[in-house]
Amino acid sequence: MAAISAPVTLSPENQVEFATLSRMLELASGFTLAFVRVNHASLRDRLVGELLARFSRKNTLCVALRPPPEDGTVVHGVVTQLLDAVGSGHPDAIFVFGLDAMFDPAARDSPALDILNLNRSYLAKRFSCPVVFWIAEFGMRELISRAPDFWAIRSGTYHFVGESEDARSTLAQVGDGFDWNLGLREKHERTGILQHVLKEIESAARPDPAVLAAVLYQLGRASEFEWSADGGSGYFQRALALCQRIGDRRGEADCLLRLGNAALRQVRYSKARHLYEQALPIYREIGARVGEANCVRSLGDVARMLADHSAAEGLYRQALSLYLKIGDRLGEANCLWGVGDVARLQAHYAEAEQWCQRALAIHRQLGNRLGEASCLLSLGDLARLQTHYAEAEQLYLQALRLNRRIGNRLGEANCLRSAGDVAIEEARYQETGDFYREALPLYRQLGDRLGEANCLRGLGDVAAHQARYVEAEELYRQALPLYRQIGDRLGEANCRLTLGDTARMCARYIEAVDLYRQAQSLYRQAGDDLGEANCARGMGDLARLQLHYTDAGELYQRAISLYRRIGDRLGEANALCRLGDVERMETRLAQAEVLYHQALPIYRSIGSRLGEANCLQSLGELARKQSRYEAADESYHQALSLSRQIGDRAGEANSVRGLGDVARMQERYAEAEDLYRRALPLYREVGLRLGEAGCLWSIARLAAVQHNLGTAREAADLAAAIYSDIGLTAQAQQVCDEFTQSQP
Amino acid sequence: MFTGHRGVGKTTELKRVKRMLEKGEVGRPMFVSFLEAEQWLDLQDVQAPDIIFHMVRQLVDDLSEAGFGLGRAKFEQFFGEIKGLLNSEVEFQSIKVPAGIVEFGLALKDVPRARPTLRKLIEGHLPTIYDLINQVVLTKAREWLKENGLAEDILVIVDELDRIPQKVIDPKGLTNQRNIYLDHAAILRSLGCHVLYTVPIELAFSDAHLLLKAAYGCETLLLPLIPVSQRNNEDCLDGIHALCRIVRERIAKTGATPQQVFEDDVLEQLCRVSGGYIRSLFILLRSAIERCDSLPITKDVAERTVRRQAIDLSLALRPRHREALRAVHKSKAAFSEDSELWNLLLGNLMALPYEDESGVWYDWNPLIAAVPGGV
Repeated sequence: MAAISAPVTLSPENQVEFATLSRMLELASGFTLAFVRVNHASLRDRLVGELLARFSRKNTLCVALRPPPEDGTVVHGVVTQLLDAVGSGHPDAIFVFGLDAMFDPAARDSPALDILNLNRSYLAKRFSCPVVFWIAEFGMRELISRAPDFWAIRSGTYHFVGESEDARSTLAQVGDGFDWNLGLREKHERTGILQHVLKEIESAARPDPAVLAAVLYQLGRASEFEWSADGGSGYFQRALALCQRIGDRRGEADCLLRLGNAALRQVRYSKARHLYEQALPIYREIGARVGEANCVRSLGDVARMLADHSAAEGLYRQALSLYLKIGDRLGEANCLWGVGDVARLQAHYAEAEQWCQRALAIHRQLGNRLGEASCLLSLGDLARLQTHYAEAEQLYLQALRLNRRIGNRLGEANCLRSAGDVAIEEARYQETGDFYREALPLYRQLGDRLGEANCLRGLGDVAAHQARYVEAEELYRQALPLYRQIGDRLGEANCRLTLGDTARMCARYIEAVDLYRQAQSLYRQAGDDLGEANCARGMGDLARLQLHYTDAGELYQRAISLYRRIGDRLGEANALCRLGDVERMETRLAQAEVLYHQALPIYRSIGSRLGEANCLQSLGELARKQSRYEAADESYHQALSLSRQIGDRAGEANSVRGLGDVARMQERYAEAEDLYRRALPLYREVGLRLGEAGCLWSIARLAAVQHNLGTAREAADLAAAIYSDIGLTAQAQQVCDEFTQSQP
Repeated sequence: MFTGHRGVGKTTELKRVKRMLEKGEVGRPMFVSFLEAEQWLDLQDVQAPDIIFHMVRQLVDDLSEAGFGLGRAKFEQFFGEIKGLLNSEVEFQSIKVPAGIVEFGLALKDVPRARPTLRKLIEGHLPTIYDLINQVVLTKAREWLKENGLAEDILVIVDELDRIPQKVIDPKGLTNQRNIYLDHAAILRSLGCHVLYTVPIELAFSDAHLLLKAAYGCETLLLPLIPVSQRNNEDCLDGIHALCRIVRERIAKTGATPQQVFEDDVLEQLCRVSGGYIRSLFILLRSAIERCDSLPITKDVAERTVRRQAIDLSLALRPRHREALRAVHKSKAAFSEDSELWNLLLGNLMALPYEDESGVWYDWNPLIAAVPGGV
């Protein structure tokens, strides 16, 4: 064997590897599978150039594999691409580039590698020359564990270590456009390269601090994309120290700004502000105007998070004018969004929408998918707040797709949860649960406790809507401490309110009143009208159940005016309906009817089928009370079909019982009995004891008119027992009185 | 049931077994049908009925080649009947049922779109296929084999099934391997003749091994690596010498002598770090030769080669892998704390199985000890 001289431009270690690789290419006869591990494109290109020059007489085919597109469409696998490239030619060697881009290192499965693994013998049969895969270290690591059989038939591996110059040029490539908009796979790929470059630099005898700082900074950014718990702080801190040591002012300011962003995400607002305030003078000193504008905008973000609306708006506008001067459109769009979000927080929805639309248009022009997704999410929120649910859902799902594409898991979780919030408004409980359950593990992975708490509460709401009260309570109780830990008063208030609702549904009235009062005071502190309205409504419900109709009426009136003030149409309709119920109980039937007919069109216009069903049920009760039995029958039937559509078992039971009452009134006793016997198990199934008692009361009355006194008394006793059990002594007394009188 | 590492020589061993059985060198002479699974099945997406279909196809083909054509004729006749049945069904309009059984089998592999339909076709007729094979074909074939003094019994060997890549197929963590070998054991056991299946090593050495024993009523045989050390970490000289002999025989074929190729005890050293895994040994040898300007391979080159291979292996090592491997090296037993991790280590050749008179034991791949900076 002749000695092989390696190019002197290579480091001694790389010269040895080069000679080894050259020797393999010289000696190889037939199929030989080789892997060259090199992290730097610049070094790789030099090596390939040297080899091609050295073996200029040989026919060496270079194949760059085309990675699969982000949208998941299937492209030709590695083997097919190789076959296409070779065609009918007979190369002496094949160099293959880009295998590491064929799979996503963070994904669990990689079909491209699976197929490669299984087709190894075909590859060996088809190509009778060395096939050399040039691959970065992270790609090789994945290959070893994901395509072990393919790896096992290798004849050799060759490893080249980059030098400072290579690291610099690799960093420039990796850093170029290294932002959220990159596809998920590419982000992972670049992160993988960075990690190994870091290792290479760190293990060098005298690491270049500027290059090291730059790698650390980029790795910090990579952690941002992963929403890692520390937001990349560890890397930024190390980079900051290096920049300060070598006097890199710009690097220093950049690190401070990033550290501020990390603090902001960790809800440490004063720390974030402090960091931004440190970075700002540096940017001003060195005349870095984009940095300056970014700092001002970020200070605006802090103010917005702290609900200091006017300060936030002022800062955003200040930053905006800076961005406009520099012509930085991305910054401009971000500021517009910020101003819009401040408007949203102040419930100026139309205004907020305008700002957001302007931001969206710019993001789309720039092709900035992260910004586009955030704007769509915000627009979805605005649509939802204005009860345009179908539109909101559309927007959320659009944003979801974008976030998934760029691997923004927090954005993904937020979109899923918001889509759940919309679905629950439309009583699509199954879907709601699915959305929340999909979002929950994402929030947990990301350590986002607020998101986690919101999902748990949402799942609790689903359970409550489906009358699974024990489960609902359990979920609310899981969410409550999370809200308290992160100091989210509003979330805590919401949790207490819903716990109050479940306590009410489970007929624990004293506990319910307590919970409502706790929630109410939290809402008042936070100045949250919606929450306060909901509390008033809840307490109204309690008063109504306890037959304190005057109190109930006042509470509902208060709730209605609050709902109207904030434009919550669903809340308004619900409160109108309840007030109608009170009027009905007080036998002011005409007033009740007016109220129901105010509520019904609202439900229909916002597409709330649950509300519509409940309202129809109430109209049925009213008609029955007015002895308009046919009208009652029709309303109940309409309510019943809606309840069945949305799977509301409690509503179904109420409608069936109502139909039974109508039948009883019309002396169709057998039919009435049949209907009651269908309603009763439904009530028991959903655990609605109040309904069960009411149904038993109706059964008692039916038995009484049929002179079946034994059954009547038995049913009445059961009903009275339930009423007193759930604390409704007035009703218990009424039942007893009625049936004592009817006793002979 | 037969298992062993990739590249440990299972196929070679099975082919030898086939030859010996056919010649009657051990026990009664047998008729052996040999199915190379990878050639016929898409192992990415394979299910028990596909395997049975191909076993039957291979068996009737092999019998027909030996001169017993009844099986093939019956099978094709039966196949023609169900095909006619299905072609008339509306739901089958988009896919044409391939004409013959071989084409059908190929379609099952190469046309993933057709797979669910074709599979349904097979599944729906499994009982008929069993009856046809077990009661008609096998009975008659045995008689014919005996009458012609060819064999006393029939064995079907299914090689390369151990290459089914492990995949989780449902949210509860069920893997495709468990699904095929355990959940569908009844199908795989349905042929009325001797059958030998290769089993993925991850499955055979997982907590499923007792279930496998229960399902198939036999132990899973392991083709172990050639031991290079013993449980007490001392060299296993017999094993090392055996490996050296393999290499020397290959050298002799080139007309060279071992002394021309290796300096001092370099060969022994390379055999030792190969872990008794032939494929790894030859990668080491080849790589060492490439690193030499001239032979023999010096100690220095050998060390450099080993270090390089160790670095390659360590690329895939995560901290928890290192921890587990240290435990395995110390205890010489399987790592039972995390079965998923253990499967991975076995599959990636990080941990290697050996066998001695007291049973199976494990060690780390000796290359791991050569990782610079330690494990």
